[in-house]
Amino acid sequence: MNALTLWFHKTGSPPTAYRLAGRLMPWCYGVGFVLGLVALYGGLVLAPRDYQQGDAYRIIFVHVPCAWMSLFAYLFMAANAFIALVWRIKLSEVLAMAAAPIGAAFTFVTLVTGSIWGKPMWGTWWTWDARLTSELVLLFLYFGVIGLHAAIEDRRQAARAAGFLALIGIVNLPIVHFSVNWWNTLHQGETVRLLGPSKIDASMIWPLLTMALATHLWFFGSVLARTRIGLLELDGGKDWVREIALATDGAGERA
Amino acid sequence: MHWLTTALPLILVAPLLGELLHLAEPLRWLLPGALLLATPLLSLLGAVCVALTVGMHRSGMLLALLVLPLYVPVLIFGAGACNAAQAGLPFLAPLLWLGAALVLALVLAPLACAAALRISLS
Repeated sequence: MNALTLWFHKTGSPPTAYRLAGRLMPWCYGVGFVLGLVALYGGLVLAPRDYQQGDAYRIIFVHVPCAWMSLFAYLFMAANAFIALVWRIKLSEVLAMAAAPIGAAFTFVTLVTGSIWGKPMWGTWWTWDARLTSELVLLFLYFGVIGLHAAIEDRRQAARAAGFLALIGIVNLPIVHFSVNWWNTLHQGETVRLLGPSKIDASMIWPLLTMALATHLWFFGSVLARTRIGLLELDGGKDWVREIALATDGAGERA
Repeated sequence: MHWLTTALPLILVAPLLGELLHLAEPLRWLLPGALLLATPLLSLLGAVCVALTVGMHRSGMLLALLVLPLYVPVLIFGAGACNAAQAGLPFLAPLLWLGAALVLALVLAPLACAAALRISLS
């Protein structure tokens, strides 16, 4: 076995992953929280008013990063589900299932903030616009994955079945992403672009991108936290879990 | 088989119902056409989801949850085609989408079914 595969297997083993996640998690949460505060200050206080939408546009600083995250979380989940199905890596199963509820939460926040924004701007809470509908479908896909995972008794089989569903559901991802280009409906088109100039002013884009970074970090923080618990559950009764349990018990008694 | 008993009668009766309801000219043959493309797609998608829940107790509610997000796009394209035809707009694009999805599903759904069965029976 060469060094890379060795490292890969070592990091992928539950005890090492548990420790690594424990070390990374506070950093993700901490930096994500600080960046989030900075972005909120930049977006709510520093950025200028929009000439057309006034102050109401400021919900963009929550809505858009959450929408990006809802797609990113699904991609993360599906990629891990794929790895779990093909190479049967335990850690990937746990990672994929850890990402599902968080992605669902981001999707839910996107839908809620979107409808709050839609009420004053479009005059309606909800329309069956292409992007709105596909985002709702995404939410139900998350629910399906969570439900399927919860419904099967055997944890590993549950993760595989739910992961498979996640892989089927990935057809929806390009639909969400390109819906504003394919159908000319109410939702506005792409404003921020990775390639080429964005159609948004620099004073508004930096809080947006900072917020996107913050939500990514927060996402990884929560994924790691959930993964730690998932690993403990999956490996309950094994030696390394018993050691941790005994250690925390001892600490509790001493305190 | 399931499709023969549930969807085929609906498709056969659709032109008659269209006549009874005085549907406009393109819609009278478009409706059964769209149904013809959409219903096998629904059956194929449903089969994959059922394969995932094989051997599970009380799977009815869960099955609905799994199937719903996959059915919604089919519904949207089918209804979109009929709506466009009713408004006198070009309706070919959603039909083509349905056809493309059907062809894809015909090829991939049996494979997906097999994989899902293997997982849920392992």
